[in-house]
Amino acid sequence: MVTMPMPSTISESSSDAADYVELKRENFYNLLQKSNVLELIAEETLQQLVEVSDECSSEGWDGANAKPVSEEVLQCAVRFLCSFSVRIEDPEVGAEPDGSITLEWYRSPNKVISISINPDGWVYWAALIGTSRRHGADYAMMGISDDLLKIILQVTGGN
Amino acid sequence: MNGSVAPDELLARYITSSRWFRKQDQTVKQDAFIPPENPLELSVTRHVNLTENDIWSIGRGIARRISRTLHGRADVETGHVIAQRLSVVLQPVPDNPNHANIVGWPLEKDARKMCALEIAMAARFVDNPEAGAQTP
Repeated sequence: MVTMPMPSTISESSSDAADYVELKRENFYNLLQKSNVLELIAEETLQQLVEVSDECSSEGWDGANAKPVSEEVLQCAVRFLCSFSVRIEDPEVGAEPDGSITLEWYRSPNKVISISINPDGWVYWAALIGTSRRHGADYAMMGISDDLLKIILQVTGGN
Repeated sequence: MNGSVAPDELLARYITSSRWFRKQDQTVKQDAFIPPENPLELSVTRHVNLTENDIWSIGRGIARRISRTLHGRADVETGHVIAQRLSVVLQPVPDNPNHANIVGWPLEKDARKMCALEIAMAARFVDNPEAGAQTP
């Protein structure tokens, strides 16, 4: 996956930073187009992933002490989404102040599941389904577990 | 600094990411209520003794400092935070005497997400009336 050295002039001007982000985005897409990722994940989801990593790439992006979303987390999120054994509706992509990328499937305030792809390589999830509360953790490299997939399908109504 | 916050006091969490709320029904995502790590503290502003204009003014100041758009704020009663076995501690800062932190988060991330989901469900999104006029 994309591992680019930061240009030495990155801190010198904001236009350099913008150029770097654009270059990173182009590289990311070029790489995905050469792979079969686009067959496994919707392009809109990939776009959201790249946008989130761009928007949240600096320290304190939340106005407080937020950690940046790293390229490793972005790669981890792509790998995790590629591991889905069935095609389900696209999640909403977001970010948390601890540097995680989030994937959310939402029907209503009490029918929702949020999954965090964490910088530590773990996937943490929590779900509200009516009066039921479920949460847990899986190792991201193992892909999505059957249990977690079932819960997403419960939320989306796909089971 | 220590201090107590009444359960019926409103807390504002400023929304500086368009991905922290759902545009379709103007509800708040749990992402907005996940604390950064080291330390596990979530920054909020108490409404007490502030006018609506004061609350927005503080939020605009924060957004300006980080060159981002202030999309709105998530208001939640302190009681909903306490119900998750979390605490609100006063932490005034020079440009925001009403600043406070939500502390006492579980060490396990999935348990933190559960707390954040519950708080987000109880929160109310308030649109920034000047959001359209901002240039981040």
